[in-house]
Amino acid sequence: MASRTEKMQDILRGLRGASPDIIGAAVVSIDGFIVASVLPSEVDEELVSGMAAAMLGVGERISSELMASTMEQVYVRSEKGYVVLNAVGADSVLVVLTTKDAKLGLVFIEVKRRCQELGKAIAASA
Amino acid sequence: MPTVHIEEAGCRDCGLCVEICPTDVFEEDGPKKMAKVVRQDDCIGCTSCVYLCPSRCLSVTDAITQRPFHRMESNRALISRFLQQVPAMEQLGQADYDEALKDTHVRLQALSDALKEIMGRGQRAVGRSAGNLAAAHMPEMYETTELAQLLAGMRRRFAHAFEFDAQLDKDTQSATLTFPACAMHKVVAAQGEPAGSANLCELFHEYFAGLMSAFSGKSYTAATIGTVGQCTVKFQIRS
Repeated sequence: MASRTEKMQDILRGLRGASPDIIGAAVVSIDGFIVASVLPSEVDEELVSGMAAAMLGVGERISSELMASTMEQVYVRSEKGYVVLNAVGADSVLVVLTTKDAKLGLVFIEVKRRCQELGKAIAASA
Repeated sequence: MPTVHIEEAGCRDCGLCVEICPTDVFEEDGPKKMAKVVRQDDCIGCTSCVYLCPSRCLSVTDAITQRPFHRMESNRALISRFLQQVPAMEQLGQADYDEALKDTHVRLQALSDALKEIMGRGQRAVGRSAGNLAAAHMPEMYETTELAQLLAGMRRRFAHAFEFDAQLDKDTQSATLTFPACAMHKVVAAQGEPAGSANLCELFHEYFAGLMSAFSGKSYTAATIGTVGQCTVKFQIRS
């Protein structure tokens, strides 16, 4: 039987395989730990996890203070691509790195679907 | 004041000192890219360069490696040497120290409150990252990954700021640390917050977990389990 991490790793591989424009993905806990990842070797996992957790915190603060609501998604666009962060359950976040040519609508649909799967994997192991 | 010396004949142009120096005292010089001291006055005497230099051609003189600020009364001589203001030091009274301390307390508290206000739960990751980044400037701590030795090294390293007792669980590689005389206690107590569970304390516990993770190569989490009179924190490897 696959462990929780293996299951999440499979989901992330599926996400990365969904589009050639998705460069990598990771699930990060609110404490800043990598839970599962399929990131390119040149990406510093520690740095990504720290920044993602910090961004999740800021996103939550903005959502609650400005919109009186819970955070769903944060995305950052640069000249070279996008970083999409989507909340998974209450204590973790899915980070997706894409190229600048990625069709965001498709990425968002894929992210939403995979987040549901990741949420079930987390809930099942809790 | 710390003074850096390079024995040029021994330099192998590796550039490690240029890379590690937190205050950019060195620069690579000439076609051979030999290290050169260009900002002597910026040296804070951390001695990271001395430790790292593979050729052992670096030395730092007049560096005070232990700065026991929290033992002010018994270490006036060291403090006056560090501050280089002996006459002024002699004129300072307890009221001056109290005022300076209060000022520091307010700033630390404001900093941690701002982090919490902006980052919410994300501030824990910031504390951990700070520990990870700070670890790079304590190269001597990477000599062992064995938990007991690692904690002994950290106790020596932080003797100037706080002390702690450690209980180890060898099977799980976890450590329960008790901080009876942490400098942070005074800071949070002055603001009317409970030591251990105050925001500033949580930040520091994450910072410490970040340090332990970097030095041991394992991912440590911090959980505060006792806050009465002193702080007790359990550091365990994340499963």
